Amino acid sequence: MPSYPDDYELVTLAGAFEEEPHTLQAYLDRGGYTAVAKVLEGGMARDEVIAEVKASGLRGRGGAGFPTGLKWSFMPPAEGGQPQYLACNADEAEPGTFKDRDIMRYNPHQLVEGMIIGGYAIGATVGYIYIRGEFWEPYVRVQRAIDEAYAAGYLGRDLFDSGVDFDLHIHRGAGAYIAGEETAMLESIEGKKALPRFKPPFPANYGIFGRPTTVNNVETLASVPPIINRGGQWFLELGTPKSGGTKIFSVSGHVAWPGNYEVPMGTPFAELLELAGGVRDGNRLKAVIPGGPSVPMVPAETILETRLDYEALGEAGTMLGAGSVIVMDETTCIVRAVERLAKFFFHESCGQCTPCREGSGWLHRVIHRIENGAGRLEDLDTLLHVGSRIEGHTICAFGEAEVAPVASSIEHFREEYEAHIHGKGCPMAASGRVSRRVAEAG
Amino acid sequence: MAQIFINGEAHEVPEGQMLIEATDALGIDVPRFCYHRGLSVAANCRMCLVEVANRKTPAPACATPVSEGMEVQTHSEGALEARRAIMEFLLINHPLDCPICDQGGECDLQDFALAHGSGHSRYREPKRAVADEDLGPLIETEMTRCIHCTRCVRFGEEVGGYAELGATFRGEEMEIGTYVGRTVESELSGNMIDLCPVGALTSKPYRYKARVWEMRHHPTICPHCPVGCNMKVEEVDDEVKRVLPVTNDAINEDWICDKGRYSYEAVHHDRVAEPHIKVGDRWRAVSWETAFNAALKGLRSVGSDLAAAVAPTATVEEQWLTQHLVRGLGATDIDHRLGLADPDLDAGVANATPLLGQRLVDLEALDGALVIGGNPRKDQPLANHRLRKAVARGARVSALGPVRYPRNLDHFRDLVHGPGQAAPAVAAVAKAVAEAGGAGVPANLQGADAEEAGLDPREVQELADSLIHGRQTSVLVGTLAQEDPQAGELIRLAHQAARLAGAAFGYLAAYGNSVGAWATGCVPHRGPGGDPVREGRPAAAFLASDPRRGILTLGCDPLVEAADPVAAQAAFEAAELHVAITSHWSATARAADVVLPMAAYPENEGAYASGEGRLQAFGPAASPVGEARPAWKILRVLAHTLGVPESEFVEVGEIRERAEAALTRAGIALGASPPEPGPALEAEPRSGPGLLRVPARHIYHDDLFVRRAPALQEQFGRLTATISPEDAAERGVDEGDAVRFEGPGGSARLPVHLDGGVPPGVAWIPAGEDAASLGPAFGWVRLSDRAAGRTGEAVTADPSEA
Repeated sequence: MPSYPDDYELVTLAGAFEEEPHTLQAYLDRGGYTAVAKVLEGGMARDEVIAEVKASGLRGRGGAGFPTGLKWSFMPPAEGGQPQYLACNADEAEPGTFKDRDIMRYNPHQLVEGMIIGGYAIGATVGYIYIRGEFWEPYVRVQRAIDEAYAAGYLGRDLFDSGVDFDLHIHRGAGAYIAGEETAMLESIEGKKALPRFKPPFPANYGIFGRPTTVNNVETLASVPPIINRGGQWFLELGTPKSGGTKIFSVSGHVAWPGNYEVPMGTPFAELLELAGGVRDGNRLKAVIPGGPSVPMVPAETILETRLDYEALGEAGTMLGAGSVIVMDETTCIVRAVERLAKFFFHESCGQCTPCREGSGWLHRVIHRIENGAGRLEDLDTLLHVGSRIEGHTICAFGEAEVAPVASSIEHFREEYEAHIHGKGCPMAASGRVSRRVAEAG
Repeated sequence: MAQIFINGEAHEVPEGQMLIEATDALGIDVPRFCYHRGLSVAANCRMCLVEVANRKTPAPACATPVSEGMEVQTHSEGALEARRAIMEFLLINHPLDCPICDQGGECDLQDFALAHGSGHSRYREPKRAVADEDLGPLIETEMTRCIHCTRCVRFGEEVGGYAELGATFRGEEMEIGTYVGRTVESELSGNMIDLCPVGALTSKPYRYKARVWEMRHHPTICPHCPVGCNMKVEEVDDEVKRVLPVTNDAINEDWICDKGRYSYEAVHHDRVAEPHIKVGDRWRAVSWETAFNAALKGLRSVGSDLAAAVAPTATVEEQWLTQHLVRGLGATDIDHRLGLADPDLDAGVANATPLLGQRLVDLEALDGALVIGGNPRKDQPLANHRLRKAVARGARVSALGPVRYPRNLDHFRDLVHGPGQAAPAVAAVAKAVAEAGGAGVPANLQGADAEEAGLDPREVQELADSLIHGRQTSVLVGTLAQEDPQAGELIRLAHQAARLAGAAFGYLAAYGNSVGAWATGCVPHRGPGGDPVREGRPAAAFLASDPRRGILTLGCDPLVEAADPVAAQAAFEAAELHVAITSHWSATARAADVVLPMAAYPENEGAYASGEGRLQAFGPAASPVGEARPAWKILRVLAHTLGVPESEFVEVGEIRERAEAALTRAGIALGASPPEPGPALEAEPRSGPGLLRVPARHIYHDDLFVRRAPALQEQFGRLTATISPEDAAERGVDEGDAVRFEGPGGSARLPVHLDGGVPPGVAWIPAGEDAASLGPAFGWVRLSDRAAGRTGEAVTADPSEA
């Protein structure tokens, strides 16, 4: 267990360090299912639930950071007939992101309870949890939690004699990163190929099977029961005024102890780095991608001065994203690292719309050429120009994602690219200093 | 309406419309690849990006709904730059093989590259190449050219009715293709070629035949089915190269079926290029003078002892002139209903002019319909498309017939009656309608019984309810039912059901000018416009047991198309004289004494009257091959020389005036209702030994012209007999076996296809050259047993096309 300071309180990873924390009994022992009882037995109105979540400052933990309470308020009132849906995005496939996996492994009932409350708040009677196909243990544990919840009467018809129904199903993905894009996920749940939908219409109007649907991330939904139990104000005060609550950061790369760390929003990066044991082998920090590869990387000197919340990271020229902190030390060849990321995005582009389908391969091929000694100086401008014609021109945000590592690395480490071009190859590989271990892991 | 500003100018446009619809309506050019007004919005090509005020990123015009006060720039530097970028992306993996690409000259990618692209590429990396697909004889592929707009995929799902093409793989490796190596079989498949904005899908028969800028375009009307699709024939130096649809929102929208698109190939195949006379057993090509003399001599000799069979695909001018000639010679036997198996139809239903009874666009607005004895998907594909659109809106469209056809729309009820129970089944529906209506069951329906007709009474009741409770419903008599041995009974019962349900009544006619043939008097009991005439006998008589000394055939092939081709053969053999006016060699032409070559439809001029009652004229697109002449000119010479009064026509228009007047007198007008067919009687079933043959036609085999079009015949494959799995098991027959069928007229060996949509006791064998030897189209056939009939020769045939 990491040595958290005394004033850190685990919200979504609560119980993660106990024995068998994923069982219903363990969850009940931690005070589980009291929030949903407070809502349904205590007669909280839907608006009151949404007001509490709005007060908490909870923002979407999947990467976009959209205020959750506001999103919930977009759902139209439920009518008879066809159901409305709550979909939980558990397709955690961004490289370096593994927070939802641990919530599902260690605290699945808190997710289930969050979904029941969320479903009630938005008028949804059916929920789906879309779990990444490679996640076997999380799937088994969430399924077990659902089964236990049904057996205990927390799921199904007429919950807590309130007349409220909520059914919950798992839908397992089949390995496409793009299925984590919320509208592509809706397509996949419908049994189709995961291709993002053009918005508008938004899921709140036209979601699963054309019905109003809200999509929330695992961490977002797992934050809801404590908010209901202890109040939105309590949650807000855990973090900063504009970024409420705690956040799990998945720290990977060149640190001594990679892993998940749940810390309050606004925690200085340096503090998180210290929790993770600092840069490995006493090396110097070179650059950090703070929110997963789809956000811009920032050089060491910037990130070391930055706090981890939506606003501070925005000011630093990057984003909080999903809180996937990829740490690169001085042994990293930036070009090689970005080449791996570009290859990832090339491989995962869904191919639906022109700029991304054609541009992702273009970006990757040029960077691959530079890394392998066949770069030309004009390639850098081509990369930036092509990137600028991908972002903002695509159906979904994948376009922005694939450009972020390329553009930010050229902005901050242009001289490394130029060294590759002038030296007709990777200078760090030539000097034997490059860390293949991490570069290959992209 | 909303006021929006496009390039600074204010416009009033309908609220909620997509921006691109507004700019299209206003004539403002916004380029696009994936958007098509007949398909759903995909927004994937990004070519239609425009700038919208207060938006950070360019917006796709195809997927951006207009809203009050919206300010749009379609040609600002930002919009142009976005399109330049899209063009660059699209071209990096495109082969740029325009010089050898059939799409060259009519390629959106090529055009937009010129308008929006750069002459220079920054892309120095390897390019993508994609293996081609074999989609069958109609569509050629060059998948490396594909730009993944998915128009073809969406067309299959949304218009064709089933997904034959799809996108597999991901990202740059995404490929359009059939999922499991199948060919494309939709009867609407050629539209994907028109939709393809690049040269990925091109026409296989047209491949390398011409460059588009060399061709001249001639508007024409499709002769094949009563929809009357608007098309254009394209030719170079008088040689027909291809046929394309012409948009007409009231008729065919942007589409045509493959039959209309590819039948033009017949212009170049098996044509009669010179007049011929038979000398002994040998054909001799002769001059027109010699041929006319032979024909005139023969016609003078037989005098009024003459019968004429006229193609229902002939023009109204040809039809009017044929009856003018025949009646002018004192003869009375004339008919265009070669396949009609009910010799008593005219006694029961005096006027069965097969009008649709509504406009084509009205079909789309129906909320309930019943199609009796027809397969509009194959018989009238673009009328079927209107029904599909109605179903998509929630309409309950049902079918009732002797077999369950492979469908491309979801039927509310798809009922199959017992063998020979066509009329009793319709009576059962009419009775259920009467019962549900509560006004009492008419006497002639008292004895009707759904179960005896082989139907589920509950389903019949549900069907009846759907007809009664719809706001706007129709009962449509299909192609097969119009030719049934009990057509007269069936039509009257269908009309009775419609009247009881408060539904419109109409026909889905068999051919492109069936309506014209009725109205111009190509029936034995009605003159032009229904004028009284000395009544003759129908084709069912004069092409059978009771022939005349002389037979004139115009544009048709009764030895294949007659209700009983074997009996027709005997009639031809008995006749002293057979003059065949035909564009193609056929069994009938070969049985003639004099063959006069006529222009095929792309070489012809004239007009057709469509099922919805629209008279559409067209001109020639090319000169007739060889010595062939438009049939109206041939008929005029015959009539004039034989002394038929009022036959001095110089222009086709003079004949059209008379034909048009006949149409007007006959009440042919857009959306007009068909005449009342007379009171319905009690329905009796038919019965016989063995399997009842259902001759439901095959789309690519039902007229002489299409039977001579090579690519469509390749798509057709072979004439196949479809039987039930139960009958097959009982006789030890397997899928694909070639089996000998014994009919009343003789036998035929046909490959067998098993389909659960065919009930036991029925063999679905379309009319066609290979089935002519069986005799009556609606006859009873037996399968030879396995030992005698099965040869072990497996024949693959496509079930869905039959």
